[in-house]
Amino acid sequence: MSLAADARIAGADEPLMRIDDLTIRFKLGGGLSGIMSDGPKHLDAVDRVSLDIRKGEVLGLVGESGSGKTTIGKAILRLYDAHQGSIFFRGTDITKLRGSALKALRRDLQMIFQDPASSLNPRQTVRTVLATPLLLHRVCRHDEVDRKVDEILTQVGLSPIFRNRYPHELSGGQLQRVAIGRALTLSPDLIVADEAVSKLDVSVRSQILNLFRDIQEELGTTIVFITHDLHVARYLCHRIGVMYFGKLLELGPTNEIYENPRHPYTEALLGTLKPTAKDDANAPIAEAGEAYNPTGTTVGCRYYARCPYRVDHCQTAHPPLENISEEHKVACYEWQRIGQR
Amino acid sequence: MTDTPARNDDVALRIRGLNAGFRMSDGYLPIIEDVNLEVRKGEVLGIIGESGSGKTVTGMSILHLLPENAETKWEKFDFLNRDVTGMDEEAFRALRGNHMAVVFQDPTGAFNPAKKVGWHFHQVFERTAVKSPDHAQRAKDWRNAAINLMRDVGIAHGENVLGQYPHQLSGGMLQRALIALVLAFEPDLILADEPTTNLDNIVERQILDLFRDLQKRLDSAFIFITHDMTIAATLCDRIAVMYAGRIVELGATREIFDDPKHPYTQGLLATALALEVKSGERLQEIPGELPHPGDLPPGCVFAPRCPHVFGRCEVERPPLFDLPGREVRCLLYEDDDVSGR
Repeated sequence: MSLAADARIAGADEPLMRIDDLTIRFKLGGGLSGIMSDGPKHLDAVDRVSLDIRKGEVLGLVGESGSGKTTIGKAILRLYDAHQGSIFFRGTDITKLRGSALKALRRDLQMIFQDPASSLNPRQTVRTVLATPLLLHRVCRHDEVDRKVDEILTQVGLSPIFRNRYPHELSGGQLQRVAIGRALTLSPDLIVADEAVSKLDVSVRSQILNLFRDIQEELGTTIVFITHDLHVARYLCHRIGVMYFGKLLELGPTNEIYENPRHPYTEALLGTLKPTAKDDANAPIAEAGEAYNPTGTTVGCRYYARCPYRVDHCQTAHPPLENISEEHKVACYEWQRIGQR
Repeated sequence: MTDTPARNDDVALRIRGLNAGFRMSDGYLPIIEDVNLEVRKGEVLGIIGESGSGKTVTGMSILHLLPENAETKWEKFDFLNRDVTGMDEEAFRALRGNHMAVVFQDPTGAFNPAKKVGWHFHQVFERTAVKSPDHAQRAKDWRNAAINLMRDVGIAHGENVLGQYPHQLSGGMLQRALIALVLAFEPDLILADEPTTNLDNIVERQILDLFRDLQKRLDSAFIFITHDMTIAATLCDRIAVMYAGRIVELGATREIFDDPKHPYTQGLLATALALEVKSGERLQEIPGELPHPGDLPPGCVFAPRCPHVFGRCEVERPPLFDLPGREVRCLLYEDDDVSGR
């Protein structure tokens, strides 16, 4: 695991990005139901999350749907505005940037989406898709564009003959390669990849994962890799943050998270990975209880209702994220009881 | 299990020579070819494959639920020791209504959105009332029967759920309610098509455990369609691996996982399992992508991606070879065939 070691060394420096006490709030209850109901008027999809992203690392954000992992990813790119907190990128709080400073920022931060078929314009050829950012940000002159486009295509494993194809002429794997190529056109410092392999078939998925790893090792690009797939996260990421209903529950080096999970939710998630033989009786990994209601009035730990380790004081407040070792953080009052088999 | 020929009355479903395709504006598009399947009572047969492999079309052909522009051809279709090949749609609908159930990826489609959950239970209990005096009694006291079944599938407050509309339940809860309905219906054949793909990891695991219980209780024939190898390993007695509209390998789950024969199965297992166990090394890839059904290679459909390809593969469509306890559609196993062809 030399990769993890590299990330640790890199971590000694100032992080590439520091997310500090970030809250992303969505308004609820537009329309009639909003007037009629006396429920809460907002939902914090990301709730006071602090997180460092280190230069040159692949940071995995894992969690189930509704955990806020995509919302954080989009907030990093300023696709959502922060309700509270800051995002420092190279020393500047980017939550306040506007105009040309914001445009300059967009060049350094790029995103790859889950479904390449819908994130590429069906009426643009691959060349247009890749050339537009080059010209828009004046990376190269008009007469250099074709050479640069071919260079990017080669980098993502496509032959230059794809230059004049339209998205509908490409397969899912080829489309995702183009989407990755587009993210690379401006040599960004940070790429947010949101479920970038989830829609791909198994046999193509490993090709794209290998491509991600090649690019990362070659260019040293920092990647925030958002996924619900724990196998994928383990393969690609140096560090992993586990999210649940807007909160970061656990954060640490990949090996540490997988070998020594200290949050009951992480433990349960990893429990779903172990292949069980057909007739093996397996203990319940989490209780079937109702999941946390993000628009409700519960004040305690968000995992309380499903947690097999819960005790009374878990209901008082959501636990803070605390360091249990230099590299490993957990938000659980009872973490010492977890994983001690 | 596969070594001993099943007694005839154990076999709930037997299909020979199933072909299906669609009439398109530009001609006929064949999707599946020469599918042969057998499912015994109390057995789970998994059909695994990537998207476009024809697994769903196979399932929908069996249920006669393909759209209008589909064409199916059968050599033989036996269901519950009855030859139903070429049965007219009216009669088949009655057969399906009394003996077959299907669970889709999205449970919302199975419910009438304008009716409460209770109404659906009532319908099922009414329909099954004719089966026996016990069933008739149960239909009279259907509320309690429904609440009991819902408790079995982990819905604690069934009495409340009966009065709710489908849209008021979460995806996981609705899938549970649907499984309770299937339990009430007691079908002879259950077909589940990616029933957990939309669910989060932990809920998915819980629902899979429920399917296993369901299977034990009902002793039905169960066809489980999935793209996920781990799920297939957890749930299925036997699996049929499909690629580009053909079954390429069929056998007992454990044996296929221990010793995959077809190069596609080998590649699929290697890519899926490599991700689960290793984290450092480069992932094994299956090069290339699935062929389009209208543009299949002339020989073996897997030949363009196969690492063991040789001359004849590119011109001959291999038949299914009978190996002990295994069927494999690959010329490499021609000499191992025991059927005396």
